[in-house]
Amino acid sequence: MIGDYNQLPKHLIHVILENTSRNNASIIFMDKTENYHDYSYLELWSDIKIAANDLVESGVKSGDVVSLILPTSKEFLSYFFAAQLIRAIPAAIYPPSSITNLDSWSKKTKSMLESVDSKVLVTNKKIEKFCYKLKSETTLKFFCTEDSSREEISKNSYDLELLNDNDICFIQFSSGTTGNPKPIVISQKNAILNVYAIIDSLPSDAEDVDVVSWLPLYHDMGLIGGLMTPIIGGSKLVLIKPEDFIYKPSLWLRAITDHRLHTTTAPNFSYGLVAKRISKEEIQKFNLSSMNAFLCGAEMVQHKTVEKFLEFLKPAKLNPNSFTPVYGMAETTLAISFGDFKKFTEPLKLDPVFFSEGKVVENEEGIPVYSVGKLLKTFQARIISNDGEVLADDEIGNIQVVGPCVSQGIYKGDSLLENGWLDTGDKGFFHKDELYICGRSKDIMIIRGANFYPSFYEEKISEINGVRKGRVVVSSLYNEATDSEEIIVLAEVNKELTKERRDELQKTLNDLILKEGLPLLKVVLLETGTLLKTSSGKIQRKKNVDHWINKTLEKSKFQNSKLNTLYQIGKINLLNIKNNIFNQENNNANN
Amino acid sequence: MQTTETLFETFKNVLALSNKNNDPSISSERIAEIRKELDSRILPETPLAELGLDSMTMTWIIVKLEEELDVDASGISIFEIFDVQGLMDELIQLRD
Repeated sequence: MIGDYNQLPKHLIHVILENTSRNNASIIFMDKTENYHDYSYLELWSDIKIAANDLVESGVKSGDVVSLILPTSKEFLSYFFAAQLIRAIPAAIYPPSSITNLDSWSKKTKSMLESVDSKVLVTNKKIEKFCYKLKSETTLKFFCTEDSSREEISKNSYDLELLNDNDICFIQFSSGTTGNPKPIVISQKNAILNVYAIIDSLPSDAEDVDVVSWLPLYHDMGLIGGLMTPIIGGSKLVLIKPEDFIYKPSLWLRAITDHRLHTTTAPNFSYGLVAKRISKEEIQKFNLSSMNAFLCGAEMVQHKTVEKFLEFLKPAKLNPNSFTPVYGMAETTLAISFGDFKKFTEPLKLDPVFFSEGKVVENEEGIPVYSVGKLLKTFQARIISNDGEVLADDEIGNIQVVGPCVSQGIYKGDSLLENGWLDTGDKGFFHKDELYICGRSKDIMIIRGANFYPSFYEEKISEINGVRKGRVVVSSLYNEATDSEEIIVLAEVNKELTKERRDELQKTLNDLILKEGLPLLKVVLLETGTLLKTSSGKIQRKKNVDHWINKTLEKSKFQNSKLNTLYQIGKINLLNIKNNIFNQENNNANN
Repeated sequence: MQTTETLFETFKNVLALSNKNNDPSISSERIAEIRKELDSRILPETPLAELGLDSMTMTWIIVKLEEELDVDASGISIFEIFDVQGLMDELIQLRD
């Protein structure tokens, strides 16, 4: 389908206009009461022109960055694309909430806004209230969507002919696992090509790639995978707010069933959430047979989570071949590779000794590693050693990519390329033409000259009863006493553990690490909510270890990630809380 | 019928009691002390974010308020409510 790039559209506004007359192109908002609200492309186009007028009236000019702090809504779509219409640059930022640490959020947001020299921030009245600290510390102009004049921009104020693929489509802030999030520039060409490469790799034809997405639109997977793919494909899109999905994960499956959708994409944790939060009785009501692509990306795929999800959804007629791990990052717009749709990808099991030495040797009892498939069209990739030597298949090294979907660089900053290649920051290898990811290069633990990848041990530890799943950090620290790198484990444990159980757990985790042949520095059991995560829910390994070293790792009263926070709420939900309170009061009464 | 003033008192009572959620061993005397401190610390215009609550405690509070007020608050989007007054306004609407 990519074939001749000259045949592809050059700007998203042109695509939106074309969609006003395409039969299957539609946008539907689903609310938490399972009601659907159609939003036609004609309405979107009208709202874009109204929003564009608001931006111009607010002083926005071509080339200015327009920051958006808005929920998934018509307003997000209209102001996002309105910025593009007047050749300004939209940049979406994650919103604060009633339990956000507003000092920390304001500081981080101010830094993001300053990095792009944003002069206007578009939000709504509800969110504006939370921004009082931000308002006092910046000269930023706030525009609330409720204050729209509802007048369309005059035809003289924009020129559809001028819109081209060199225009900046949007700025994506990177996840910020190290330091503040960086503003990555994504051009119209980057976005359109990546979406076409994605559609080309999906089983359905473009106009049949009907999508449901609950991902936040300030995240690249939500913006490109969830929103722009069906827009550019001219297909159906059902949008769910992320907070509604976390509150009621069954909305996701209801949308698929009702609209016979084909494609969705989500991080690993959400597949686990579905298996945990929906009852076996409720599953029978869904029909997922229309789905041919349940994509899983943004974080390492945990094979136990996948197994549980597939097993759990069998009664809903889920085709296991539809599940596929994917790989990508903001710096490459979104997707780099997709797994094989025709078979559920069984992990490669690797001998741990050879693995630690950077070599791929299969061993049935070994470490499981999932393929993230073949490269999408437009990408080339290579694996290089730390010395810059290009490695062969079955040798583990640094993954580098190149292609027209790679971002031109940081906004008003440096290029992301070195010697023409983008270093992804990940370690991996090619095996029989497929790419495998081992982990982040900066997280590798080098013990006695051998490489060890924290995620495998974190997954093992997460499976132990009493340990909070996904709330584990494994890393290495230099121990002066032994003059060597040793393992440190930080693990959140369940609240209700007795002292005896905690002691037992401590011993179990100690033994697990020692059994792997690794030198152990310490296992630290932590209270719920102590470990720090990014706005997209990724554990910040280095930051957590640094805090532990400085004795500043204490129970955080605030979640610094709205999505993660909502995940915590979703895990307990109101019904469970009611039951717990009832049981607790009964116990108190009986004691 | 709950007035805004009595609702505010109920909210502070529940807020004080929520400390038991994080520390079941806390004494009734300490809860009473905390309750007294809240009178000077919490105003209707106090942002919820300044109460130092985590997501689980916030949900616990909502559930307790449901019981105290005999309402169903599951429709409240707690994360979008800015201040104590905003929460009380939502609860009053449920009662009416």
